[in-house]
Amino acid sequence: MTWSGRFAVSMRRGETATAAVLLLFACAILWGAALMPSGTVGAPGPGFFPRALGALLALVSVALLVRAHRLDGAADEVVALGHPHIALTLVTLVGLALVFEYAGYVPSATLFMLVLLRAFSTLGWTRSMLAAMATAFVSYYLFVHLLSVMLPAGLLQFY
Amino acid sequence: MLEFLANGFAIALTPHNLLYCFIGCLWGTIVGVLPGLGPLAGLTLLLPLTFKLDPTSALIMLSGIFYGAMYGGSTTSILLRIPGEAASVVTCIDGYEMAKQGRAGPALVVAGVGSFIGGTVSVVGLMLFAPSLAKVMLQVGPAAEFALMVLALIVMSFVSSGPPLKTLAMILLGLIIATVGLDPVTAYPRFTLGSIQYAEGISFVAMALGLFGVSEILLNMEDIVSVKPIKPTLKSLVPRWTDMRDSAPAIGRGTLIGFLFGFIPGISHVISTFVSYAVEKRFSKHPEQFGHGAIAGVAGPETAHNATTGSAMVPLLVLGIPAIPATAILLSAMMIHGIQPGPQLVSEHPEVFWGLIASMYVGNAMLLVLNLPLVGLFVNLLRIPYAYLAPGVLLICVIGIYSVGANANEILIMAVFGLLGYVLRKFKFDIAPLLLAVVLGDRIEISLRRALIISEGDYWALLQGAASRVIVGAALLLIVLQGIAWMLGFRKKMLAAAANEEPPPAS
Repeated sequence: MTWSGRFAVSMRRGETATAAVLLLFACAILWGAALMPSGTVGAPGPGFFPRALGALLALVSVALLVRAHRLDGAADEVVALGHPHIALTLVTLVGLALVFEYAGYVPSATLFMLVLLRAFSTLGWTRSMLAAMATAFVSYYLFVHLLSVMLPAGLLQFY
Repeated sequence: MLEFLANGFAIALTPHNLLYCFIGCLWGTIVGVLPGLGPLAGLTLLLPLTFKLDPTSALIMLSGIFYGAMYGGSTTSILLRIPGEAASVVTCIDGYEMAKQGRAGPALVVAGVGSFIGGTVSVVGLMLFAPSLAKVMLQVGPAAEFALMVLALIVMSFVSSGPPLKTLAMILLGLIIATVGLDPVTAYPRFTLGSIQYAEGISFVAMALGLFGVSEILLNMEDIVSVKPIKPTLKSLVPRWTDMRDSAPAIGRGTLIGFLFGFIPGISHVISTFVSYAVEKRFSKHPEQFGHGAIAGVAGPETAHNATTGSAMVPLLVLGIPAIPATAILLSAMMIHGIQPGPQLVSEHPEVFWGLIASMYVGNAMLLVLNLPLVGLFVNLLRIPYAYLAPGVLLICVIGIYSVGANANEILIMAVFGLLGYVLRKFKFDIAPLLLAVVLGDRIEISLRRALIISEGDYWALLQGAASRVIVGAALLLIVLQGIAWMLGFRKKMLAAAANEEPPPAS
């Protein structure tokens, strides 16, 4: 699958959006810090540092907005953003995190590898399944038994 | 001293101590190569096994793990752009670019040789200057520490590939992320969303793997068909003469920087890598090559990183103060074996002190012999087509994260930071300053607040004391130098623009 260009944005728009998000984030930090005791200059409290950082980030974000506004239109490049592969990878990673401790390492890692191998490689279902299972079992043995790393046994805990 | 050192070698070179040193080095290299498992995890996992050993053998093995992990950390940074720990972040920048150009072999060899030289020379320094330098180290108060951290951030903003305004935004974002968790002075919960999980802040490993490793994979996913596997030849594994020539001064400077920074408690090993990178870029005849596969950008920081191992031992052995988290485990091992580190260590337990010093020489040589033949093996990882490599790398990242905190939520955090890193890199924000700011954030805040409390709110106190003045002076000098460089560049641009606008001469 190659890049389809469906989510292309200009650098100027992208920078403006990033700066706007940073500005909102800085405002949220300022609001959160205002709820904390700020102390005095001689005895700064927990809100002192976040408040100063939030104010500075707000200033820098405004400067970034101005910079984005002034970007040379002729030199503005198009940035390709968001591909089905990226969405699939992130969704699979989130899915893995959600089932990791309940299902255990081996079943969840097998499923994770199977989905990604089927999506990205030219392997068929059987070969992908075999490769996924081999990776999950070998890595489990290597990390848990040889390197003493703690991984959830989940469904395999009775074996 | 030579007599004591000879006795130390006699202890370190006994067959059983050599075996423990080898096991330590091998284990350290393995945990260093795996993301998430740094020296701290490596030492913690093997600490219980050393309880039955005699104190000298136990310390020799644990020290082997410590510097083995320092060596191993560079491998995944160079091959996969995955920093196992904060100090490997800089190596990713040029190391990975070299790997993409099919030059992972020279990068790994130079990193190994630099680590060996840095590590060995710093042990000589430890042996010669330990007591006197430890006293100097105690002079670094909160004000000087704050100045040093700010200097590190200034240095970072200069070496960053992005525009200064974007770099500043990333630094501030990193510092804000570092405030998540319990306030380090009053334990007041900040931005924890009422969850105990965030009491200790956001996991650094999850952030580093997400911002660097996962974002790199996501970028490559856009056009996975075009990511061709790299097939290294035997010739491409060996560094060229020019590589060695370009690396030698960087290794020399990295050794000095790493050794000097190693005395400062906290995250000196991280700062030393960034400072070394900045120095190399400044000294280079081709600074434009930095960020695009400059070998000095790998040699300097890797050497500096390993040179801190020797000097980080000074506060531990002479004063009983662990300078970095990994040496805190060594301290606990010493105390478990009934050894109290401090000024009396050399006189009360000479066999431990000199045995450990000698084992450092042996360990560094052992690591070089162990690592160089493995370069060919590691580089072959790049032969695997990306469609198979990427899912495997993601799975190793997941294992690395889970091994640190046994918490599946950190996989989610890694995914979120992966997406953030992807978007930021798309819009040309440099993510290395963000990560450095996260590492330094806590210490910057603590040192600033302590300095203000001591001075009763007098901001000028931040400039008092010899150490503070030297560091602030260095920061100002850097700003002035950068200003001059910017002015010259600006002038050049103006002249070029004027030349382009000039009407062609009439024929």
